[in-house]
Amino acid sequence: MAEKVLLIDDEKEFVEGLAERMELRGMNVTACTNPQEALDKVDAESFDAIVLDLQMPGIDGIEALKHIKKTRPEMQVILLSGHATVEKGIEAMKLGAMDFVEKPADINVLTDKIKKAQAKKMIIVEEKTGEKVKDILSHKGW
Amino acid sequence: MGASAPQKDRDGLCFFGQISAAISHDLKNVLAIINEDAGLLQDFSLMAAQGMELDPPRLVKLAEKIQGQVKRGDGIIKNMNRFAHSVDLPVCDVNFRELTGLVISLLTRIASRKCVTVTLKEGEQVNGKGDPFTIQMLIAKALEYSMDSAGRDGELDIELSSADGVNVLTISGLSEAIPEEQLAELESISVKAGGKPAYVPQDNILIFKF
Repeated sequence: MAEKVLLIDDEKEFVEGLAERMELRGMNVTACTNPQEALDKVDAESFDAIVLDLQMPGIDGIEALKHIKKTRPEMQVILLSGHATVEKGIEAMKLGAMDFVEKPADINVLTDKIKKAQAKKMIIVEEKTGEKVKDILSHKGW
Repeated sequence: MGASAPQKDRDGLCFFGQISAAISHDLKNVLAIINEDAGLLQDFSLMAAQGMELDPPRLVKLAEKIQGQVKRGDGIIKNMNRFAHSVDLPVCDVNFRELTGLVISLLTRIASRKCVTVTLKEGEQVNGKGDPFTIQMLIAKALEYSMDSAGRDGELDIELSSADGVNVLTISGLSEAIPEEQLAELESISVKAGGKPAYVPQDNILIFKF
């Protein structure tokens, strides 16, 4: 199944190039250069992986990550930055980011992380569905 | 050496670090775009080897994008070089317009993050003597605080003029009052830069006289 990816970065040319390369590798990519629009997309639909820039105009990556983990905790976030610092990386992981990649990214490394993100999200969704089924079965009288 | 000397050095070092970090971030973005475009060329070549037809206009467009990024990177490095050389002499002839333009370019990323537009208005050449590094630090700090005051989608205009041997730099477009401690910090840097600051709350402007 094609991985559904949301790519968020304010550098338009970067987003265009990376999105095309990801699509050539069979992924279903939605690219976004406006962080607020991207968060609206997160609220509206489901993604297997979100590749998120750490520094953007208006909303920074850490703020965006907090919003995503609060509203859609099953979605897996890979932070991408040209400004990688150990503290930011640790902060992002503590807030629930799945991984942290430094620009310029190796497409093979990123692809591998996206596949892992999809697998992780599937497990979380399956667990949630299992819990729901259990809950229904325990409350119904049949 | 007094207790304030190491602190003074550290302020300058912090400013140097802040600007260097912003430059490195911009250069990383340039490299990331070149990396993706070069990667696309590689992808197309591999696909062509497997029989896919190449689209020459597409290849030309990609090559132009790479050249555009090389030009962007060159501009960033030129600014970085000018900034690095600003510590060469403690006092020298200063072209205030050129120096202000450089600071605005160096703060592009910070302005973009704060969603503020900064415009240097056209005008006469304004020259004088001073410490280029400290003057840059003063303009940068004043701009940063003015951006915070202007707020999201704010527009700051910078004007430079000269009259009776006094050079004046004016930042207009501020909206909220600048906090006292920030004004005190600007005052302190301004003394080192050989200038006098003034904040005119009713007009929402910051003025520096050199």
